[in-house]
Amino acid sequence: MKIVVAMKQIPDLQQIRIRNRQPVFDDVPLALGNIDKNALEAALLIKESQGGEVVVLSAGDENVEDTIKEALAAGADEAFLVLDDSLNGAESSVIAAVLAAAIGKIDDAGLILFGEGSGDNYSGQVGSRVAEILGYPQVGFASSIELSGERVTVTRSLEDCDEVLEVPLPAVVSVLADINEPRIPSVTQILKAGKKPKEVLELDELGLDLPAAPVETLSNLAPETQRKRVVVKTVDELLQNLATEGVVRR
Amino acid sequence: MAGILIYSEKTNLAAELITAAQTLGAGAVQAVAINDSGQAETLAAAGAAVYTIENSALIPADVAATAAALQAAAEKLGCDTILLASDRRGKELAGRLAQAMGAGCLTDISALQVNSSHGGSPQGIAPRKR
Repeated sequence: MKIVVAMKQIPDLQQIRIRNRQPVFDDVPLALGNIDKNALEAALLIKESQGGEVVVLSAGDENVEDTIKEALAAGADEAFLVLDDSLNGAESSVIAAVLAAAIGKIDDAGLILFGEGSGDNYSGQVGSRVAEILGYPQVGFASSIELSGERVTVTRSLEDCDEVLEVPLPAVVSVLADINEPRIPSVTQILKAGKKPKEVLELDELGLDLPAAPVETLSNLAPETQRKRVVVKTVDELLQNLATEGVVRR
Repeated sequence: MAGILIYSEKTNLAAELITAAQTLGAGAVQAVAINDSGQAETLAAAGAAVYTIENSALIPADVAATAAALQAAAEKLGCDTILLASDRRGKELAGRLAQAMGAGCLTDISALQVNSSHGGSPQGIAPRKR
């Protein structure tokens, strides 16, 4: 059985600057979302204990071919990529349609893993949408996953309780950010990652009639910050102010 | 905007959603209670027309079945906007229900209004954590 891990290429959030409340993406490198790496780690742990293959799935522009190497280095067996410039930052319903169609082309895909939300938008919709398109059962916010034959048992952490659910495969499961600690690939693994198999499709090859994006982003602004504009003349005065604010102790 | 449908298995959250829907001033506010007549009374007191779905096979943990039930209710009641709680159960349900309805989905919304220049479509502000 194959465990498919959906991973999203996003700008490295630590390197985005804000100018006039607008994010500046110039020269910001691309990376895989952190919670997606938790989903990959969960898949690798299942593979190591019970066998199977781990396929990482991503949709984006041509840079995905490079970005996905991190997942292959971490231990994924194969990558399945759908490329098109329009997929970078595409709306959730569009990405869900693409991923669902791609999953349909992966033989023996039994368990489909997502992070609880993407590293950039964190809307957490895509896994649910994919489950609906494919008609699969879904369990979100997993804190543990156990495979047993043709079924998967998932502990789902809600705000006020933990639920233990068992669903038949194939199924969609989204994992919590604290389900595990993703491994860091070694240099040797990174060097070998480029030689692992990749199936690359252009978006057109999926033959999809993509939905018009039903959500329009009108603006994307950083919160306004109010500077106090306090002017100090001495270090002592600066320390006094910082102590008053509780930033340092005197 | 036609009617607004409210659902949360948690009564206090459903009541808050009814208040939010009423402040929009657009469309009749209707709520669904699933297998919970006690919740129905509270939500009716909060000012919504309440419809109860009774089906012992319909449990909150079954996202697919709950989404299908809410989709059917929205169609029957003529609702084109559905407000769900922004808790984990609600977020999981929202994506599935939106896909089933061919609808857009706004999550983690902290402010909501009706945009009359966009045909009365809902418009929300979603703070994102970095």
